[in-house]
Amino acid sequence: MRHQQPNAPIPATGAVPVAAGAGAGAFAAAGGAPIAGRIMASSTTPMLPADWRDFLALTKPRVMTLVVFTGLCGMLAAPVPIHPVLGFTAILCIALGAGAAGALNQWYEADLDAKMRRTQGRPLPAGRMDRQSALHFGVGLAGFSLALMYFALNLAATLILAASILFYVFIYTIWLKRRTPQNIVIGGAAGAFPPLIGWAAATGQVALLPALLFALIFLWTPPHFWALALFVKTDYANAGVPMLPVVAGERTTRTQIGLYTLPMVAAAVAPWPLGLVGPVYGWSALLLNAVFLALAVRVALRQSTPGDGMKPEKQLFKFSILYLFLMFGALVVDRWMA
Amino acid sequence: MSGGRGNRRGTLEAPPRQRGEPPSVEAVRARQLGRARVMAWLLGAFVLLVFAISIVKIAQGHAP
Repeated sequence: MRHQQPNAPIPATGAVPVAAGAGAGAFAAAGGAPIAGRIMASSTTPMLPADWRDFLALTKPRVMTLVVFTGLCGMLAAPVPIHPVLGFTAILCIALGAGAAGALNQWYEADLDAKMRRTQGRPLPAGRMDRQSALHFGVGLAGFSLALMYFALNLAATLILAASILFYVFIYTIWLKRRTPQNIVIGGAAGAFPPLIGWAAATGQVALLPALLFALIFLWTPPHFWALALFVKTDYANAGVPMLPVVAGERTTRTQIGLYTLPMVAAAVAPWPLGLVGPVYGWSALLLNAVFLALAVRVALRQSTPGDGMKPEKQLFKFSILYLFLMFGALVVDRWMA
Repeated sequence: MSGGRGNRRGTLEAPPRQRGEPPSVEAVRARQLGRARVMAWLLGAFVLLVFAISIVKIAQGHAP
């Protein structure tokens, strides 16, 4: 797969002209009425500064929901209670860190996003923001989240949060995503950090249970994303992203979905026989994983036909999101009832 | 603050703008004012949060 240059030219937006009618690419002080001091870095049409909603969109708020929830559950499952103000701050830092990683991801992948129908409406490919603003926002937000986490909580949580941001940006976005169909497998670790961070925020250290939760999300990520990739395959192909259905075909992807589900189920159920959780989580895990396994096996064994709507794949994808919410919810309920 | 509208997915997006048209001074000022208001609220919330965190930490015996 040809490596695409990440800095493909995108029409510069968001730069404020120093004065109306000023030539692009240079300071101008005409008319005695400067508006702002930003340089127009290229000879493009001056655009409005980006709206605050576009900065919010950079953070991928819908993805952040799951991140925040799993982080909260990790914190609530910890054996050490945490003050509500500090707990709120920890979750806020996880959200801000995830948002920063999302912003930097969008900054780097503006060229890919422009080629995919699913992402064409994002601020950068849609031209509502310039790339420099996105970069500054992402870096600033990351630094702020880490500083606040260290100030309010502890070094362990701060280091794990930093690792998650760096992993998502450098390992997944910059290195793996355009190079290998295993990008989701390895890059999925970035989304598995939040329970660890939440636990570390409360206790100052990590333990076996949060490590198993990390493994659960890590192993959940491939079937989750490959189910999605099966029914948005064309989008990824157009953008040149080496997702598994594009590179290896549908049959291989279906098999891999089934295979990855097996260790995921094992990691999900393991805390119960290990004595780390009680029967509420145990029975919930058995039930939810049985359903997940059934849906995954159905996807793994079927062969799609043109125009069949990919309904089992969409069902698996939708259930996989619900599955994670319910698994972590069961964990919290189990802890409260213990 | 510049207006936005919901899209089909129910999330707010900034209003579209015409490529090739330089923005008016009023439009730029309105956008800057909108961002300044949001930043003011965020800074105020941050100040309150830091105050609350400090109170909690002092109560927990982490006084400097």
